[in-house]
Amino acid sequence: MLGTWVVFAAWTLTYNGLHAFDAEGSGQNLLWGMPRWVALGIVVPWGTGFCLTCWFALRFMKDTDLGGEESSEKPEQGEEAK
Amino acid sequence: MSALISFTIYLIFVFVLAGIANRSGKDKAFVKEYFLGSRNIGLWAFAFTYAATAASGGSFMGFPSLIYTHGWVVGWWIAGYMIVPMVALGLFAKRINQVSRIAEAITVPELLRKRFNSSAVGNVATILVVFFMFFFLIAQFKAGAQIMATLLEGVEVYQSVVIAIESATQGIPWIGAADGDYLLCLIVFAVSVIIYTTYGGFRAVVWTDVMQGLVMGLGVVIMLVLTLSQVGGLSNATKQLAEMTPPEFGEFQLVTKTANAEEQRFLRGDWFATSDGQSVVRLKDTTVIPANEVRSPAFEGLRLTTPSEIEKIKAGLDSSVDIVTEVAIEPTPYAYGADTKGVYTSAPGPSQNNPMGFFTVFLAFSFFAFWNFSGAGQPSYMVRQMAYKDTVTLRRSMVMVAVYFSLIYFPLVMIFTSSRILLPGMEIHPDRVMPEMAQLLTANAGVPWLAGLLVAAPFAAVMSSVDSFLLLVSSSVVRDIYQENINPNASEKQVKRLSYCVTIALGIIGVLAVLHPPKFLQSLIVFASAGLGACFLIPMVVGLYWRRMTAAAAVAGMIAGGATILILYSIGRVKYGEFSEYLLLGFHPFIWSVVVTAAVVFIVSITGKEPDSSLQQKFFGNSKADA
Repeated sequence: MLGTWVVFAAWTLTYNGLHAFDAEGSGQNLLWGMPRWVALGIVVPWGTGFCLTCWFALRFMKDTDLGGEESSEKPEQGEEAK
Repeated sequence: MSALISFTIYLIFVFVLAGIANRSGKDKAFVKEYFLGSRNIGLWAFAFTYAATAASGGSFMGFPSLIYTHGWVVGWWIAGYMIVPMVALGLFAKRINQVSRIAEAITVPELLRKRFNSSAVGNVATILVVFFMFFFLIAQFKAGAQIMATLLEGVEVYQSVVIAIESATQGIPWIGAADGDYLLCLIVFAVSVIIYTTYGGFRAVVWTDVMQGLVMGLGVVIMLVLTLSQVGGLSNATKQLAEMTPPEFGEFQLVTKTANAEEQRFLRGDWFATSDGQSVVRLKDTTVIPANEVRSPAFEGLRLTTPSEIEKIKAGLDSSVDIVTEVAIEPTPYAYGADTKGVYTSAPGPSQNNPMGFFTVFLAFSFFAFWNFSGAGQPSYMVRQMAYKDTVTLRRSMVMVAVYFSLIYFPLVMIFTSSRILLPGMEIHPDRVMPEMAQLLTANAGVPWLAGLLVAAPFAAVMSSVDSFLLLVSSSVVRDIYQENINPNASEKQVKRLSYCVTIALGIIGVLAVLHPPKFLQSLIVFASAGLGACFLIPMVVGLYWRRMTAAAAVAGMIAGGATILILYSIGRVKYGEFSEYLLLGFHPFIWSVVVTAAVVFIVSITGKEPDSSLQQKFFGNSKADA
């Protein structure tokens, strides 16, 4: 988890740190209707993160027995709740 | 009126769901059912209750106002959400569920108490949950009341009730000083949420979260389509945004050529041309020109600086009105971004007070960590992770939550950067941009009834958060204070009655506390999130995976985390004269709290006595290797 966080944090911070601070060019340099730095520094990593999440959840993560469960039926009248 | 009807239908559905949830849980043991849904929450319910709790009033009120005020850079501010489902749920959702089953724990403080076999751990956790969660509650109450007030503004019956309430509460200490419209909306909102939360418990909260989550998702998608069609596409909106420059705030006076025998009253949000005809000014509050006078007292207002916006507003002004504005106190330009084109399409974004701009790289790092790890450390999410029924539910929910966050957060950035084109001058009341935008979009599209659904989206967000927090705090009081310390042998009937009473009492205290609301909604939410994350993230993660962690380390870690946040916010309060965080070396207090808490937990654990072997065996099995 920490590794994933580091990779995506590095991507957005590095790319946007280098390209997002150009006030003059940001309005002309568009991609998909938004400033190019937004498209490549936020939207593309967001899409990648989404795909990675799907792969992690549906392919990588293993099912585990979470352990026994106490009966959730209502206790008899007068029985302690705790 | 049609918007109000569709909004009312939505509210009725919420109550029906709460009723069904209450009936479905009748055969289950009360405490586990009321506070944890009998640990049997399935895919849709788990995914939506998790996502809807995350999307609070801040997401639909404070977040849009930030986007509107600072532009595309707020997309970077929220970018951490791209991996929140994987990091926050992957970090310990499986393990916390497992441990809570071993411990048979219903609440987060109870889980910590049983994990460390220490009442002190449970008591400290309870106090911290109640303290920080209360800030969350009052922020949500304020947001809920504001949304209702916007929706009801033009309704005649509502105005009469407001006047009646104002005269009825006049002279009552504390209550009488509150605005009538705000008071009415606050009471209606609070009563609705308290009733269905009290009546239905956790299962009702989860089911209504599912519905509210669907309303939020649908509302954002509809709003996105309407916005993009009305601004002529995203490219067109971004190009226009790149030409905009920030407005100026100052004090102005209304001036007329001929005095009127009667007082002339002008409403908040009205526009007037400047005396030189070069710009337009918007009123921040209701303003009057007294009878037989030609000049109003000075009032706070906003002056536009972007030529295209000025022309657009001037074209809509009534040419028969001979009133103009003159400057009383020269407006102050933005500290960063004044007269600079492209400031809304680039970093760091315009800022009224900060000469460095809105967003620095240090803050970008802080918030990328904040959304992922502070989110994981919230007790309201932890308790949901204790409630799902199996790991298949967890895995599939991660995907659904990822879809949901992607559908909500980035589209909101597209909608509210574009909203600057459609709604100029909203900086005057930025927290109202969402409901105002909903009404404008639907009116332009000729479907005003749809405004009810769109406004229901932020309302749903607020409701789904308030109900979760109400339940979390009441469970802490009932389970961790009353049952643990006062009456361990309480009967189910006593616990049930106390749970209802505590939920209602908390709601009433919340309403009284927020009668005079704090000015900064989003700041309050970030403070509460940071505080809870600081107290619980590290002690919980380390406690779940490291058998060597001690009870003393848990107590010290929670206190150190909470204290770090309080100290840095106190310094911010002293330094800036308002409720604000102090960014030590440019980093958010949450980052410092994680560093401090981790160090305290590690040092106290290794210098203390190793935990009892039977406790280690209970939670970690026989293997010495940590999970």
